[in-house]
Amino acid sequence: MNHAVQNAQKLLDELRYHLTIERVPVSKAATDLRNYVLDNQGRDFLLVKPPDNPFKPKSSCMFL
Amino acid sequence: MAGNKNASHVDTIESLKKEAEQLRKKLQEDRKNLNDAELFTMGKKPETLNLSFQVRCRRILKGHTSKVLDMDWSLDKRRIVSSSQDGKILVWDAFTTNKEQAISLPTTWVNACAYAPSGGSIACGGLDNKCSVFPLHSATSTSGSGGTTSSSSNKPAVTSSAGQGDSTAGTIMQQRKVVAMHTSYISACTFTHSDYQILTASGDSTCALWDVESSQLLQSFHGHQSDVMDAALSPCETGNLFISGGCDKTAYVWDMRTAKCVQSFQTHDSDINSVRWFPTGEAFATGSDDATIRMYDLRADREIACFSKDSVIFGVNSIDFSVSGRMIFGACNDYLVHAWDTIRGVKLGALFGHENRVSCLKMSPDGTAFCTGSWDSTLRVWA
Repeated sequence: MNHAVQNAQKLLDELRYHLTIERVPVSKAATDLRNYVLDNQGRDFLLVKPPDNPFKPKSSCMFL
Repeated sequence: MAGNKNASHVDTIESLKKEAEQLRKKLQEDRKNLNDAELFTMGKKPETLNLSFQVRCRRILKGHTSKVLDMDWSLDKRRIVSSSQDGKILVWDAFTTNKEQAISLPTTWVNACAYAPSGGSIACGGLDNKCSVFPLHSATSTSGSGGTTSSSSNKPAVTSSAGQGDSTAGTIMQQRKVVAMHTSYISACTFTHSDYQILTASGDSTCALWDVESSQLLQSFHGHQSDVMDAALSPCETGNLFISGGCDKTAYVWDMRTAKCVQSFQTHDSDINSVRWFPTGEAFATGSDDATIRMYDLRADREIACFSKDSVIFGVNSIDFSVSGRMIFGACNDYLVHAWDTIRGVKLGALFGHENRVSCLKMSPDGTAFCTGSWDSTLRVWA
């Protein structure tokens, strides 16, 4: 039974800790995410054609 | 008297539970206060994406005789390790589709496998409740038997008991190193930033950090109320965080140094099967049996996006972001890979090919391709 009390107490401590974290507004967090994506999508080779992609051979030659 | 003690314990637990409920409510309110915007509707609309002609199946890797359960890329961007219900681990060259090495484990259902950062070994585990590390032989050696001992093995290869004509299986099992032991199945394993530590997630509801050399338990992470299905290390070089998700529908963010749970999120309606970080390490996504993928931001401390579609009603087994984070892919039980535009929230399409559930999906290290594994016993590389 003592074990259960300890676990419940541990959960409470954890919840109290979670309440204390400093949060950022979603507008700021989302803006940063969008900026990262837009800055990096030029290098995202599933979006743009890569200069050379071994998975897309132009001819029937294979890398040895 | 024992009776009185029990009664007072029950009262204490009741009051603690009530307090916990109140704190949870407060947490929800605090998180709501900063919900001042929606990820999908902010600012200028970025250009639309056309997925269909860009991404196609480029390779099919055939060799497993049963369901493929997990796969991982080598950092060399061309090798892949896969594990299957048939108890086999296969190492592939994804460019040529050649199988470079095969390891037969004594147990079936190898749920998890991982490539070491150096490329010199792999880790795997499953229903045996253990996570083991095996050295990999170089591509030029066709069999593991004989006198050559790879430098990454921890024990000298004992060739006297394994005869000259003995199968590779005998020698490789002698080079096996059991690193982790849980009290239930291993659902996920990953090396940390080096070959020397492994993080495991288990059906015993814990995650654990292990030292490979000594097989010692370094840290244990308790908090999930049910099986943990996946864990992922922060992509930040100096990152000490990892995320886990499980059958209790909750995703936890952990600090590896203190074993403390620093944040937790519970918005899914069913088991979380897969967790993956957004490339910046400031957000992550989860795939669930509730047929949605949700994104959580660590700094905003809340769910910021939910990717779903009326036509998607099957559980999501595995997810990954494209390298810029612009796209998120979900491997589903409807045999398809579904893709969404993360910042516009629209569904981009679905990729056909597999003939059974898609169980695992992972982006290659440089993002030029991603690989999927399926219950149809094949792996496919898409680019």
